[in-house]
Amino acid sequence: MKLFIKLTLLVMCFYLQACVTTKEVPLSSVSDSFSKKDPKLTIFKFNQLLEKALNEQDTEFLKQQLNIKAINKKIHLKHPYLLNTQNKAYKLSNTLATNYLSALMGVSNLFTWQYLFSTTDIDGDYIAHYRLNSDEGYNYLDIYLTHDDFKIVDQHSLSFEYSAIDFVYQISELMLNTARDKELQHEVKSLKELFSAIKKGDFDTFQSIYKELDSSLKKELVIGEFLLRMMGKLPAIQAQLFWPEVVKFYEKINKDSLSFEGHYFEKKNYMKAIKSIFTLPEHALQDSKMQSELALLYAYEKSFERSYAAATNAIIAEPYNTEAFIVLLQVSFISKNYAISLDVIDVLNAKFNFKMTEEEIKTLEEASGFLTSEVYATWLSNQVSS
Amino acid sequence: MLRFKDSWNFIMLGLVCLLATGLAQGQINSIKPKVHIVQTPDWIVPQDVDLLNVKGLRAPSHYYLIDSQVKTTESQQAYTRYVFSLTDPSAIASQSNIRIRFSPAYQTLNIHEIKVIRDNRNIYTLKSKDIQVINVENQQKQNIYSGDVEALILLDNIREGDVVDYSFTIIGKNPILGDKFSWFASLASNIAVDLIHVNVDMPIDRVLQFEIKGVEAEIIKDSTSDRRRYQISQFNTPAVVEEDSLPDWYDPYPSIQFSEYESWEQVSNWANDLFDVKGDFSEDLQQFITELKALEVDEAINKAIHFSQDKVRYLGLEFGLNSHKPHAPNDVFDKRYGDCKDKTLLLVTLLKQIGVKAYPALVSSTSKGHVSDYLPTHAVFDHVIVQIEYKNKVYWIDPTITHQSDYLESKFQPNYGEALLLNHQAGGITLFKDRVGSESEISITENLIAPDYFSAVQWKIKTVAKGNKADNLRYRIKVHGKQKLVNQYLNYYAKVYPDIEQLDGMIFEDDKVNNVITLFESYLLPEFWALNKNNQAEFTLFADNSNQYVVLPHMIKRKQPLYVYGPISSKHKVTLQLPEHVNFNVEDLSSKHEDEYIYFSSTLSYDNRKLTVENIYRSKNDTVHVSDVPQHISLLKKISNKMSYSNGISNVTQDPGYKSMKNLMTTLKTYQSAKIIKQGL
Repeated sequence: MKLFIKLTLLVMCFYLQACVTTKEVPLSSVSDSFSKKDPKLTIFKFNQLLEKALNEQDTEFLKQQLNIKAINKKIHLKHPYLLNTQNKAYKLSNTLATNYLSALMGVSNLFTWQYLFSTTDIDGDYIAHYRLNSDEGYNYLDIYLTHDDFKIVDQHSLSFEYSAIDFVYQISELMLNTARDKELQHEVKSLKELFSAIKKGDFDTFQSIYKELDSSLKKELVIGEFLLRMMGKLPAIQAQLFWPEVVKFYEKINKDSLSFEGHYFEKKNYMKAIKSIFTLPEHALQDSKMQSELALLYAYEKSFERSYAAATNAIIAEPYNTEAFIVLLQVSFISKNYAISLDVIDVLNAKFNFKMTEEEIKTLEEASGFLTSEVYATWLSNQVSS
Repeated sequence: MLRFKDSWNFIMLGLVCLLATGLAQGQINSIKPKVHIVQTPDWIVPQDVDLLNVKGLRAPSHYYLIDSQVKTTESQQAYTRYVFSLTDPSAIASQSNIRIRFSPAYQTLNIHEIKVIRDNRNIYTLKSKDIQVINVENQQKQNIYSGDVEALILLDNIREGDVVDYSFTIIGKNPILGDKFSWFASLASNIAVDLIHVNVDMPIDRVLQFEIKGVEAEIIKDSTSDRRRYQISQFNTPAVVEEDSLPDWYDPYPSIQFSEYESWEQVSNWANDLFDVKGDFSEDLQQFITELKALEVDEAINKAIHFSQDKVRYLGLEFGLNSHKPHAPNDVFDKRYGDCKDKTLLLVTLLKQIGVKAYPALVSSTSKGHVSDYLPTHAVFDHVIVQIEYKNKVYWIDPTITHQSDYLESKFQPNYGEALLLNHQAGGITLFKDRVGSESEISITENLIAPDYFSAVQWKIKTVAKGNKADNLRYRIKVHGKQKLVNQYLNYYAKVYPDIEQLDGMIFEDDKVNNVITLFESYLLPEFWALNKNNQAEFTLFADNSNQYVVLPHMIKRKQPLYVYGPISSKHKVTLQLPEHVNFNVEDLSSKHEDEYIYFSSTLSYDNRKLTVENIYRSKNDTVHVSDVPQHISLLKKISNKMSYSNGISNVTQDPGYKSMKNLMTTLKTYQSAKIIKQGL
């Protein structure tokens, strides 16, 4: 059993993040010393520095904030019985530290980091909430920071159910419980081989093992998490093979993830796309981008009251974000509420000095109805005369 | 008004549920009161009153004498005499009417004389027709009926300068109290008195303990062949000033206590028999017990408690012989009403039937943890609850509390400090300690979200109440209805924000497993920002829930201890989300204030458009010692300055789009309800 745990943990540590990694950072360069923070450095000021470091891929700054003892302490706080020796705990913490750095750099390659705000967890540590921005879309990632000196001790991409430490724990629990169960003991080998197949992108092997797996194990969320996390690591062709299985897996166990929002959107299954967004915790759900996303999805569903509610929330959450106003404008076109359309255009003009030309308006869906409306015509003539 | 404490008052304290009776259920006060005019008995030790040579009479009345004497014989005789002059017209209005209260079920009133002395001459002779006997049910609203009456004598023609001298004896005491003598007498009053005299006349073979509190005084004993007297005389006692905000247990009046009980075990021995259940159960009660036995023990306990708390209404019929003896469980179950001892005995009986250890526990709602400060006596107790021993834990359940959580583990257990357990091996006073579910907590989290500095601000409030606070809220909602609560809250907020509008209906979540109630409210505040002449948008954040616990007493300079509200833990966090990042310098504005009695912290923080004020208050002790009062009050004053935070944002009208933005937000107002979005998921 100890061997299983060891192997499991080593294997698991490589799959903590879904993003494509950059080069591995050598273990020796990760800091092992504690240092007290500047007492005047508030959590906000620290995150201003962290956001800058992440966007500039300042690995030296990040290394300063990675501390093996702090990670070890966090593991112990969250899951006191995860590892039974100091040596194993140290090794895991070391591996996690290395992986955190790689993962953060990986994200920085694809996204721009934007700090939202921080809350505290049950242990009194900070959870710094970040939004990840890109032209293709948005995601959210929480970084766990120690209360006293802001050391990075855990990470949680909100597309997944578990944080990095919790994911390691869940895998370990799955293997342990399977090994302890007399009727499932024989499946331990299968699970190992399953994970190995996924890691290698060997779809056929994965399929054949999964098919024969005990039915109780087929519903284990952590297997789905493992699959989902691998999607970002596998080459595109292999990922494409696995993807339908991932979707099917989650649908079978009646679970959702933000990762599926785009998938359901493309299939025009807007309610499922909305449900994917609602898997987010409250702070991310109430973020301006997600509310804008909901506004559009509800508009496509013709649920205009909810659409306007979400669009309003998006504006209130970030009143200086022009995108939120554009989304509201889009919703007004779809719902043919042109009075609101004009109000939005007024705000874009007055608040942001953003004068929407006819060409720009035409880029939005169902704009033609607005452009040919009497309301617009009257407004336009008033603009001309003034 | 004269305040004078004696054993009678102790028995009639507060809840006084121990005085419920079963003599004539449903027949309130059917016994004809006996009032006689008789000579002063021989056993009284007369006290001379010199009316002529007293200089410097006090106003509005001057008390020469308060005399209290008790003789224990086959029936107790309690003699009282007052001599006072009315030196100001204001005293005439309040003190020209003589009221003597007694219980006709077991007492007779003998009035000896009432004199009105003017110019050294008695101008009044008491006649029977002058005495009116009236019912006094001043606790009706609490569903307590005592059966007591008052003999009322309205003195005519009373003038400034008249001296009133009246005396009476109340014969008899409640037979349920048994043979042991127990009595309290005050040795000072809220007015100055020339002489306070106390005398206890006992058979010589009966041992009497006594204890004097609050004053240096000497008791004089003298004996005859068969009787012993204990006398105490206090000359020129100053008026006791009763300061405000006193702890319940604290008595500012010096007093003497007499008791024949030698130990608390003797007191419990007296009470044990009262709570003994004899005879068979009625068919209905037996049926109920059978139903309980069919359940899992945990479930049966919860059901038994729920029944005694919420299915038996509180009604105290406190007259007649059963003043201390509870009604039989059969009666209480059948009639579905009872007072604390009735409900207690019923619950104890039910629990015992299902194999759970349960005991009646006599407690004092005022003395609480200071019961053992007194000599052993039955008179200190005014309430009874239930102690349960289950799965190696001890629980204290009050069957008179309604609307508690459904589960034993999460029920709030009031802290009465000390209890006398009945029919229990403990014997003496038992302390309340390690009580599960004894904390009361309130946590309020507010989020104010501002789209700009002119439009209405969204205000979302989440209130989490635990323990006693949850019970109170549950009671208010069940009894008064949710809409009344909503209106109360709305009007309370409207005192600060008159234009407040409700966004969503109040959501009320009751977790009865953990005894936690969560309230969700949301509003719009059109006038949150106040634009001043410098174009600054001013605002104030109120994190003031704990303000109600740090109220300064009226009397700052004190000689008596100060009450601390609690036990309570209060957290109030208010976050204002600004439309944009603003540079706030908040580091130096956080503070902590703590002493032996309370803890308070105030934190101001800023995090990426979110400005947060958080105030945490915790009580640590229930009483501030006199010597610590000045420093404690300084602490309270510092804390009271931390309840809100105000500031302003500059140059807000430089935002050119503010008018059109306000217009748009007004249009979108109806879409700000949170309920809309999640529907249909």
